[in-house]
Amino acid sequence: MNIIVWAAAIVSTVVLYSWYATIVKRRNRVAEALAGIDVQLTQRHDLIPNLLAIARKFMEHERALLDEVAALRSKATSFANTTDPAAMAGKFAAEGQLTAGLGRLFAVAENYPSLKSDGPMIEAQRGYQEVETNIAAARRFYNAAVGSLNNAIQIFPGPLLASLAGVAKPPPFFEATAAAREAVDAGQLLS
Amino acid sequence: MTTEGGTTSEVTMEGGTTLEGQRRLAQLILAACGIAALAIFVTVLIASMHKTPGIGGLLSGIFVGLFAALFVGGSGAWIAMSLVAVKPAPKVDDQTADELMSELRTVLAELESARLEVVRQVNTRAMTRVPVGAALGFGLWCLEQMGGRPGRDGIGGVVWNAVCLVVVGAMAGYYSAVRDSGAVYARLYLDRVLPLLAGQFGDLSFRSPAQLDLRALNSERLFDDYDSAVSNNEFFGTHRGLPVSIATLLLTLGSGKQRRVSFEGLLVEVTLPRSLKGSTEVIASTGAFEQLRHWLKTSNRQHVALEDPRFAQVYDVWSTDQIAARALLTPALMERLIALRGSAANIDGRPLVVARDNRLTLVIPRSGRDHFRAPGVREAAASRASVIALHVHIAGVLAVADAVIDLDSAARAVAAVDVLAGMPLHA
Repeated sequence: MNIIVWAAAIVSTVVLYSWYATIVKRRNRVAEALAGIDVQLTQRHDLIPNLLAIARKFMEHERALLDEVAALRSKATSFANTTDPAAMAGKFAAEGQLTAGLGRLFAVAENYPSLKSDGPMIEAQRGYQEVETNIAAARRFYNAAVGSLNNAIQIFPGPLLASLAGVAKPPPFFEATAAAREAVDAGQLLS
Repeated sequence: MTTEGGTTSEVTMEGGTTLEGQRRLAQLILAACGIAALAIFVTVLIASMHKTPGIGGLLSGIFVGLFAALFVGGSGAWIAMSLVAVKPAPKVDDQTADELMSELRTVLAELESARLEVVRQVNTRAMTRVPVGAALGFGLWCLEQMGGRPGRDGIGGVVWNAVCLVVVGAMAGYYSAVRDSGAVYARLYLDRVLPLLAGQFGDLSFRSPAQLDLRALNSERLFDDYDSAVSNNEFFGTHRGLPVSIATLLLTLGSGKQRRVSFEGLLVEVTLPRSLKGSTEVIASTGAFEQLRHWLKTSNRQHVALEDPRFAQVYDVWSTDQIAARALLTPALMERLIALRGSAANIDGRPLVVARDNRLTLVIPRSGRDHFRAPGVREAAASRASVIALHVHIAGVLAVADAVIDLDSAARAVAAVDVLAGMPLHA
């Protein structure tokens, strides 16, 4: 009888420890993914001043929009290196607003043919597209890591070990902003 | 004549009428052979039972009848399958063919001179080797006769054996006379004609042997083990505004009778207009055991779990950089890779992708095909059919490169700009 109890205790301990180690590994993977997003976002933040400097030469009448984008960048930069799950939603929201602001900037730039055909502007836009692709990839990696961590902490005995492993509150998924979810008004675009 | 972007536009296939006719003929042959097989089985069974009444006759009738019926039915099926399976040879329009022949006239004339010289050498060698081969065959027959085995087939069988051995000996002699010179001539033909044909498709050239970095590909563990690698044909240059290289590759393992093909196919490499980093492999999904084996072999790579379950079912992805792998494997690219696998147009087998920084290599297994075949020494060098076949083959290979370029959105954008740049401007 004693042997059975001991065996059960050892097996339980091994299972619990393995589960705990898995949660910690997946938590670290989420942190790694988050750092990956930060690297890409930093690249984007670094691109924006150059983009604004080029645009300012051609878009004197759009000073308000340019200032708005600059302010959104400053706000997004203030969230750099945020790893607290509670602050993550704010960070994602700030980046979403910056994305929307840049989208407006590029849309308005369509009205300035000289800006559109400007060599440095074309290069800057190409670089921006590349960074956007990498940001999307980094977000996909982050979401995959969060999904994997959530599985580990929500399936028994995960809930027992989550707090112990430092994942009391699961990190949020990256979700598209409300602006991105809005239906495109083709009529307005074509008018 | 030079094509911009769409390289396959001139290549046309024969109409569906011929295909339909072949299909009907195949059905007819299959049906006729099926009826003949049934008739043979019944006839043999009845004859057997008539000759040997009882269970012995029945069983031998079934056995022999089945054998004969299967032979006839199987032959019919083979003929029908070969009729249906053979795709009509693609051809180019007459004007294009005329232009091709005109541009290659000088080279083909030189090759014709070389061919005639090769034929003269072959004939000279054959003058001695064919009789020697025939004499050796006759000698073997004599040895067989002196062995003292009683001839069961009578004088007819003895003469038949003698003729067979003499003919086989003579053929072996002729083969030895033509083999080396034929291979040299074929290589010369391809080395002279293929660069000119490649030039017809834009800023492309040809080299032999190919300059492949097989060591780098080996480190990606793309291929099974092999002992020798042959890569005699490589097209390289700029296609649709992007640097490309398309090479044939044959990998073999073992030697002599143990020699087997480890890989045969095409390597298509396109330099993408991206700034990707690290190394990403997309390999055929082969189950958990193979995943574990791959992981053990490539310890510096991580398994990349992607969102698309259909993609994950077909492919495994390993990379040194999780983000770079996802930047390459966008949802659109995953869709295209799945579609590429299912597309029977130019690609068979499962494409395997390796991205080393911004160089995307697609490995396409194409077994059992002679990728670039020169005409034989007995065929005129200026053979229109041979030149057109090579032209069409290059177009087919470039269509594979098109598929690789179309995989990536940034590459597609560059290709589109290249096409626009090539368009004439109208006032």
